[in-house]
Amino acid sequence: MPRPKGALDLIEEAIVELRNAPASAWITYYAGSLPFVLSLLYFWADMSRSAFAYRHLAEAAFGLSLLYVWMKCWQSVFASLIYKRLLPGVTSHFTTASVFRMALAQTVLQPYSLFLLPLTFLVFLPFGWTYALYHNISLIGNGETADIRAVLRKSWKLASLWPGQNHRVILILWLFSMVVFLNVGIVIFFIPQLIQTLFGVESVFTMSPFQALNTTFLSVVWGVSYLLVNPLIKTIYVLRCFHGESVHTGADLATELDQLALSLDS
Amino acid sequence: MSRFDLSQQRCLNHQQREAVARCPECKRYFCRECIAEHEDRVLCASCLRKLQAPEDKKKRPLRLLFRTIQLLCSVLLLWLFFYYMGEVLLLFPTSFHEGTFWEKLGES
Repeated sequence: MPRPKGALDLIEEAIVELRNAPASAWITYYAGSLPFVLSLLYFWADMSRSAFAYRHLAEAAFGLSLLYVWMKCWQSVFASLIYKRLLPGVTSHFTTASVFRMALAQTVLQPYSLFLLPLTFLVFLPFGWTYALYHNISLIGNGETADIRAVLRKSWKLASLWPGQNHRVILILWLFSMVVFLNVGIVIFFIPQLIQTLFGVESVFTMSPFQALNTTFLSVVWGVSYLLVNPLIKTIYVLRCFHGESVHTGADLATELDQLALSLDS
Repeated sequence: MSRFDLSQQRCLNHQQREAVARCPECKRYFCRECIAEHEDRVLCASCLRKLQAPEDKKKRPLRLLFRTIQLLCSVLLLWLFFYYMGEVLLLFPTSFHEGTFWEKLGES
């Protein structure tokens, strides 16, 4: 088994891939994630403020479930687009059958992550593997195979590859996410202060700094941070899958040769 | 020496050839020519054919039913997650959601 890339090298490679990603990949990602995050924030605010929220809780939860599946499907498309860019001469195309297979795999497998990830986080030790597994499912369950067990088996195999690298990546990403969360929180908190200074408009945030501890504010900060950090995390796990599969297929060598040929031509 | 030792085995189809792999499906030994890699597993030609063969028509309705149940279970699980998340949010007092809870706690 070859030595894996360092965690920082992998993150750097993911950032380069994201910077070179076409607009279609970004549109794909946000077309899926934005409706879900906005609905979740609305759901959160509604449940925490409205006196009659319990009356439509069941319908709201069902709508949110559908949007969660919608988000996971688009994230799978995003992961596929990033992955296909790594393979020279391969273009991504989705057929009706492959979209159906992808929706099936994502719907059947992803909901369990909502329970397993917090559970494994509490137990601590298996968290890294579970976290990688569900990110890998986004890529492997992209509709290329109809067999859900095969998707799970392959995702698990790639998730259990190079555990040291995986855990280092998670640790760095956790610290990075904390910094992003704080940054977003500070920006959102200071916007009302800035408006008050410039235009003299008072708001709840300018009247009491404790308002920054209201749960809707914190959930908005979480939502924005998720939308900013998650594409990077997805790309990192796509790269891990690519390098993991390359151990057998040699696809990384083909990519490097292709790049070398291009640089020699130019 | 174990009788399952690969170096002591012969190919099922070519008795004059040494075996190089054991098929994980049928557990028989085969030479290099009789095996192929499929989804990171080395399988013999007949097992590979069985795996890639179109589904038995009789099993199709059963599989469809199983998939539908799987799908419904997952959607139900999702719905339960968000439903109970809403229930938990409804349980907390308004002062906690509005942040005034911490203000009062700080004053007292």
